[in-house]
Amino acid sequence: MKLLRIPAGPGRFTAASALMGRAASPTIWLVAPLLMVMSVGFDLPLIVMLGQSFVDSAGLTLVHFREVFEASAYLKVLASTFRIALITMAVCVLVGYPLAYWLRRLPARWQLVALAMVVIPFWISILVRTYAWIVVLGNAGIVNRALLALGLIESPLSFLYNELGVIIGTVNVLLPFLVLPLFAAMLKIDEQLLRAAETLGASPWTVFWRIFFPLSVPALAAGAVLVFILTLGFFITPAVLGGGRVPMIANMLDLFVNQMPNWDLASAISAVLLVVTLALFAVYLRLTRVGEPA
Amino acid sequence: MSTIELVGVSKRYGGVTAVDTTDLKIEQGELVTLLGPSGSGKSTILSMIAGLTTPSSGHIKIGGRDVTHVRPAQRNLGLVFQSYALFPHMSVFDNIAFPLSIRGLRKADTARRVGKALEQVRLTGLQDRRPSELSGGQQQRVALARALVFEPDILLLDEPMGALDRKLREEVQLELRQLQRELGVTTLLVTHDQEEALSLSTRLVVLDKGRVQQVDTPLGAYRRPNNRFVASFIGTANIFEGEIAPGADTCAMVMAGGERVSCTADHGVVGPACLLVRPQHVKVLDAGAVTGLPGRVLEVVYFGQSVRLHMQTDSGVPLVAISDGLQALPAPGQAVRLDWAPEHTWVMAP
Repeated sequence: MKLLRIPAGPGRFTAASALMGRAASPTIWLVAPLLMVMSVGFDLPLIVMLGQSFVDSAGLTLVHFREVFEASAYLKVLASTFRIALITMAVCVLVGYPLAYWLRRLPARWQLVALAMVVIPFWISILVRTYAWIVVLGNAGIVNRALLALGLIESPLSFLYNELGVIIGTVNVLLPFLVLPLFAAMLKIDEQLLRAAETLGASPWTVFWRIFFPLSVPALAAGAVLVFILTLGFFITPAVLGGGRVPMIANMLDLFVNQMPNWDLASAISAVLLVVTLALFAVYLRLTRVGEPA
Repeated sequence: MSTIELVGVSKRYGGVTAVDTTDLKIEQGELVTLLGPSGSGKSTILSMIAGLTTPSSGHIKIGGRDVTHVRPAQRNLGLVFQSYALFPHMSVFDNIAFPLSIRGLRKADTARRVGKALEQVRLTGLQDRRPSELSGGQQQRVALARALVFEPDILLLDEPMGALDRKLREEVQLELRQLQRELGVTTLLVTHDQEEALSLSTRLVVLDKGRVQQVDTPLGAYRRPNNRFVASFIGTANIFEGEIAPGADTCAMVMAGGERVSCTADHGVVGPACLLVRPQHVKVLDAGAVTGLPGRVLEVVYFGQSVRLHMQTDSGVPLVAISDGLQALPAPGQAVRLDWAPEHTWVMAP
């Protein structure tokens, strides 16, 4: 009898959540095998690896971290990695924003063509693309030979095997990661807002800076952080286009793991990289959430 | 506060004529409605006046100034979009202050005028909210305040109540009319809602297929429509087709079946004609009556304050009558006779 007095609304709600609960438990069993593989094959080694940075023959220690932060060589590589990531991010923003803006204003058919040109490099192996830059920008590459033939330069310009080469490579690989989400976000900006601003008296310049740009900033910032994070972990590009002269974190880790080998130190450096990346990822999540309409 | 004038304005997209050559003049302080079904060209006309669409031919004048090739920003007009187009990244205050800041107003003046505008649309206290935190009706009023705060020469409203529910719409219509009268701003409103057009406007412009069908007061368009389209688009219309014989006998129309129906005499139509009788003027008589067209009741629909009778004449013309439902009602299927006073009819060329 008491049950009958429960109002219909909450009663139905309870029934629904019970139903959902019942539906949820079999789902867990379905994903359990994958979950096991993930945690045993992926998470566990990661934790063991990170754990190694806190351990030496005597037990728990922070000595590896002290080594990372005290030896200037490691810090220099860290600093140069962050600088390259920062420059790559800046170049991607400066090139990517106008590109995305231009894409948005193209007629629909040309948009498709231009988008394809942005996306196609995505399907080509990074290794192939990286070596292609040697053909284009090397000392005997297309650009240098053309400039020499035109008499504009006396000796080949060194585009490669320095920081410039690495940055050209990273920007080339990462530009779509900024352009595509930014373009999608720009498409979502309501054209009527721009027209409304115009009828209210705003010049095209004002419409862009006070309406369009602020509305695209969350996507731009999110894309920039994504590019930054991805650059931090680059290995092939600095190895090939840096010619071993521009070590980044990943190359240094390769050295410690495969050649030295000093796994404890590699583990400590990885831990530092992971913490910084996670912190940046938190920023990225925050920015993308701001971008969503309330 | 200005007049709006369209001189020979047309708009073609490729081979399609969206707006045929149109002349129109809206006087200062008027509230004129562009009324028509979708695709009638009403939004295109509004868009051309706002400067968002360039006309294919003709000139547009606001306050006597030819603005045909003037950018929207320089036309000094307030436009309320159907979607309101409020800036989502700005507060209500900043939205309304936007046109003022572009005009370089000082902070104190801006705050004072935004405050006044908020008061006019009864939104005082909500200035710090984001548009997404407002209800549809509130958003609509912010859009209105933003369009009026810089004292534009004219106000353009594109289906401004389209997204509101019926009850709210009636409330906003009343407010809008009061505000418009108070400010005296020349206003052009686009709508497909004939009730909205009738209740709000000083004059209405009825459009169909890119052509102006009639420019008249709401009363004029309802009582004396120019043609069949206007008659049936505004309110419910009973229309009979027939012929009016030349000569002195202009007070009757002969229908295809040979029946004679009475009509007003002062119409000047000779030959094929359409006769309009509004539902509230149709008298439903007993089948045994000596006057009226014989017919049959199909359906009786009760609306509370009125009753709608759907009928058909014996010659097959559908007909609707509206009564207050106080007298005894015929039953569906019952034979009746249908009559009206000649002075309640209106004759149009077909």
